[in-house]
Amino acid sequence: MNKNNELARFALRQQIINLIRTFFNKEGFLEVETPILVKAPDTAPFNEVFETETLQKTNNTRHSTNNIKGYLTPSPEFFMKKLLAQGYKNIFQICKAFRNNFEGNSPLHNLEFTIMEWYRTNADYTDIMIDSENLINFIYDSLFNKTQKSKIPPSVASGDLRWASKTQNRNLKLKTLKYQNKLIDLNPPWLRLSLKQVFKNYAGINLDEFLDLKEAKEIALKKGYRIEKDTTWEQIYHQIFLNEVEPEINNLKKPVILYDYPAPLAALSKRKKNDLRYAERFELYIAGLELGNAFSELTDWQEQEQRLKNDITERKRLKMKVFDYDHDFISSLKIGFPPTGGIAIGIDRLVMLFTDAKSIHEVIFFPASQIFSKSQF
Amino acid sequence: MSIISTSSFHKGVAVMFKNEPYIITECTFVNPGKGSAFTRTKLRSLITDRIVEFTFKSGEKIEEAPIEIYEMQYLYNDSNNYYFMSPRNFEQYSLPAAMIGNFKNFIKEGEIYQIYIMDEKAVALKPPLKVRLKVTEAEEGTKGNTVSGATKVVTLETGHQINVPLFIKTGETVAINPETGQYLERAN
Repeated sequence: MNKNNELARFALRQQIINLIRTFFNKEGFLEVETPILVKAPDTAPFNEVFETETLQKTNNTRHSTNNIKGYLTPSPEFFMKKLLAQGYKNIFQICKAFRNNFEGNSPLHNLEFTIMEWYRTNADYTDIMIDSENLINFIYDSLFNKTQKSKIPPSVASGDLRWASKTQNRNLKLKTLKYQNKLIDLNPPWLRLSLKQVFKNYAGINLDEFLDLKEAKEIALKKGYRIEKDTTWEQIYHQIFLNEVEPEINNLKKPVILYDYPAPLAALSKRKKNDLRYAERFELYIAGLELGNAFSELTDWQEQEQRLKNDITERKRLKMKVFDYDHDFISSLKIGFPPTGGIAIGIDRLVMLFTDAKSIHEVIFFPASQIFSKSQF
Repeated sequence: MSIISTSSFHKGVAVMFKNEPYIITECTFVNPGKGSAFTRTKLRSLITDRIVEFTFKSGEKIEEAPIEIYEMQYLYNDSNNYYFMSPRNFEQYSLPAAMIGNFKNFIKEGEIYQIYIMDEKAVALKPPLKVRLKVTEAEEGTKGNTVSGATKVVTLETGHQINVPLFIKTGETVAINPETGQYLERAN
């Protein structure tokens, strides 16, 4: 691999992280650091956790059965919400997250990756949508609308920008980002599409009539998908999404905010007041890269506790690591905090986007696959 | 026809999809959420040679395509078909030129190739990872000619032209990756 390209990519990576800090400092956010080694990590069943133990000495023996299990966090969310309950407003964090998921040679995953999360109090997910538009545009403007040529990565080199400015509308500065031969216009407002809209337009499905397992099975069978007795609703939903909806979204020429998820996929988001079948959650896709996951944060402690308990049950069913959920987190929700919007963004993927990198391995100095031996595929 | 699950998927496995036989050309894992895992594949049709993409639920059961692989000797071609002979029974099989595709640049008479057979008919050729061909025409590599990146164009015994390093001479045998058409190494 070309050494100059490599150096330019990593220089850009650091610039992006610095710009993120500049942006949030300007917005008056406080940068926080919360534990990565915890006793009760996020329970979400789609992330397996790394487990370790903290040594507790008793009777002068080092290997005590009193050792307490510890885990590396897949996300700093729970602790950041504890800060919100303590009265902190508008916080952000850039840190490492750990997810022990087998992803084969996935060009989008690394066991250890850099995550950023921000929480805006007295706000909801629509405010986070605007934050996202502003942040990405701020990064783009700082990197490419200045005249420092050395900072432009090879893929977006002067050729493309000159072409872009020749064809631009006099009133609207064209903000074109090239990623893997896709040209994306970053100008806000970005495309805001509900799951209901995209399922209707791309899969011909009325999501309201798909929320029931029986209905979903019938619709999937009619479409020619294979359904077994133990096929779950989530499997059917995702298989249709991956085959029929996501490929279409990946072809759109503007960033896409995919919002209002069916309640079973709410994760830690609030359900919609006027329609409990859906939740105030959105995901951000740019040029086919899934960059972020955002919520109007769930503040009802009883509903949250029930979801955590359901997660543990699901983890047991899937034979994953099981641990008691974070009771301190639930206590924080009992104390409460104002309505808040929050988001998690994959920094490595953001860097991939701005450096036109095909794989996450190109933007991480020592990818996990180099450190740990991987198998086939 | 045996049933396999996605855990057996890898490049080269033949499966039935929408009642037609396909070969898996690419395979990756996808993990969108809630514990479900999926296997995303690229499949090449053994009938039309077209590529389709499909994401299976991990653990989903698929029928293996009733494909066998026979070794056959390539005889000759005409404008429509390429003709092969099975050294076992001396029977002739033919494949439409469209199913040979770009491999036509590297196929050599008398060589043995792997042919996919379904229902006793040839359906596709399985390209080898490497082919060895003689260079029939090469100019002398001129030193100092670095504009072309220290390579030159030569003609292979099949008539196809490729880029090779300057030191390759007429009459030498080279190894090529038929999928990319790129020179790999000098061969003896």
